[in-house]
Amino acid sequence: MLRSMAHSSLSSIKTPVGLESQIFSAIAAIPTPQPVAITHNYRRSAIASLLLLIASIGTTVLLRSDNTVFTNSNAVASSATTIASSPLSSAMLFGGNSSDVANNSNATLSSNVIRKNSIRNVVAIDKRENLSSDIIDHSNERATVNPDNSVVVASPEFAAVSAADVHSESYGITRSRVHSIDGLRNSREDSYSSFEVSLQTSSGFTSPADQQAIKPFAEQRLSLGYHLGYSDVVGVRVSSGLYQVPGDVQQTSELGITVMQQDMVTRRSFGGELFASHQFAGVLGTPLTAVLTAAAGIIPNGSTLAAEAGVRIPFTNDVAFSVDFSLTRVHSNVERSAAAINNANSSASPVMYVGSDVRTTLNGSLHYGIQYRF
Amino acid sequence: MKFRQAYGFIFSLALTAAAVSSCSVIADAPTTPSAIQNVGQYYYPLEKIGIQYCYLRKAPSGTDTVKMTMMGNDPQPTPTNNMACFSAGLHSEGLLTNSLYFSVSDSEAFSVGKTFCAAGNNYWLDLKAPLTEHQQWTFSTSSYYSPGLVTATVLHRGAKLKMPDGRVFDDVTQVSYVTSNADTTVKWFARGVGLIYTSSNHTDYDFGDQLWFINPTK
Repeated sequence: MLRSMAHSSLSSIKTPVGLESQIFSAIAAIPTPQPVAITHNYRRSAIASLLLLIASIGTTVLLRSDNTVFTNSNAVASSATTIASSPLSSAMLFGGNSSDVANNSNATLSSNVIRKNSIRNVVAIDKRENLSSDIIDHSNERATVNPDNSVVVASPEFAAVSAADVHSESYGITRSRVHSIDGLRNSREDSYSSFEVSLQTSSGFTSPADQQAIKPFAEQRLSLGYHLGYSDVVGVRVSSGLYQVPGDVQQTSELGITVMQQDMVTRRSFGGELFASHQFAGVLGTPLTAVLTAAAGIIPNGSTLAAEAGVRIPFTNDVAFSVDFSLTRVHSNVERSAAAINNANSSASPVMYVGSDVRTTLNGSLHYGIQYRF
Repeated sequence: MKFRQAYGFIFSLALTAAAVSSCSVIADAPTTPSAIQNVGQYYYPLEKIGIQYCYLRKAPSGTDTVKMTMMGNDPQPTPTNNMACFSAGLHSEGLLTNSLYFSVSDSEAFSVGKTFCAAGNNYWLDLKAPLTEHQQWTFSTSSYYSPGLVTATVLHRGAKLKMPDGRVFDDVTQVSYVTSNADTTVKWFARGVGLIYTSSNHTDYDFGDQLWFINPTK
């Protein structure tokens, strides 16, 4: 979401001629800092620090609109920051954690020169460094270049996005690094996956069941999802699964009566589902993504309703191992025994109905497979 | 948790909750009938004096209706195990054709004989606890028509039976009785009613080939 808003903001940025080239040439001139490995502890520490900072200045984080992100209701000038490059107007702090600065250009840049609200993407000062940056969000900031060539940005509104947040939400992996504003604009395609497809198989149990309650590799399903945002996915599934449903009615005559017998059988059927998922990226500071899913679908002469909880374990930026535990209510539309016996013709002789009256079962399954985002 | 994440999470939960709450049941209960320990609930209401059961009787000689009238506790106990004995009058076309004697407890329900209880001339163990599918028991009968050792088997428990008049009984136990000379009789007992249907490959003087429960009358 933040990324989306950042890109929206970027699209409205206006810069003086030559400013951009100055910025990035200055950036290129900065000495390469020592690489810092980004660990999960680092991310957690960064988050904790920023939370403490935010709490200490008594901010209230509000969400406004798509092109308004985290802003501070209390104008606090304590967010003055010295940055390491010159005419920095965009209130972005490139580099690790508040770097020292130096460079040229006396310039006082105000927010009507560069108006941004949030840039949530991975930005690095230099392609040689491994730092994932903090990005500080300013709205009405003013940056002043001091005589010692340091730039001070005094921002009445301050909010920070942690390093963990900066990482791509998809599987928590850092994505592209950009080196110009155009790059930032164009990086949208690189940081946004619109679709995901997954292929899974499952093993599970059914209750009530026929003689075989446990069904290994019971179901194979192919899912295609569309990202409504960075966390919400809707999609369709097709599956081939084992379902325990009422079998066909067998009719016999014995001892002057007609016997109708109907038992539960395990039957493989094709099915289709619509699903909606909500994803929680970066669970506990790890690259894992937790997923909650609700699904509803149809099978031949029946329907399914499922609730799922799962996790995505990334292999690469786009490929992940997916595991989901689902509880599925499988309902068969076959008429119940009461209806079957009422509809039977007993005018000539009594009719007896024997067998299972189960029409709805609960299936618990562990689905596992591969997911690909594109 | 950010607002939109929270929104998505709540939305997912609400969707699931709504879907689940719209279902009358999550899953049906297993339909395997439990074992019945009190077989009396599948037998005649012997102690209710005056209640009449009306049956349609089919025999080689023709079809008629017979009425069984519950006459309550008999003064004499059963001859073998000294249990309480109950009598019922069997009427055909308004005439008493026989007096039948029965005994029932939680564990057993059986007919004792005809004419009077102490005669013990028609012992037939109809039901025996625990009553469950495929349960078997044996007994010796002194029945005039098919004497000898009888093997009883519970064929079905919890079945539904629709009678020719359209009446449906929901909890029916079907028991077959096979004598040593391969004569077979099958009886259906409904919970709260008793005998609702019997069929035999030999003709019984009182019950004919088939006996269908029609309706209770007072």
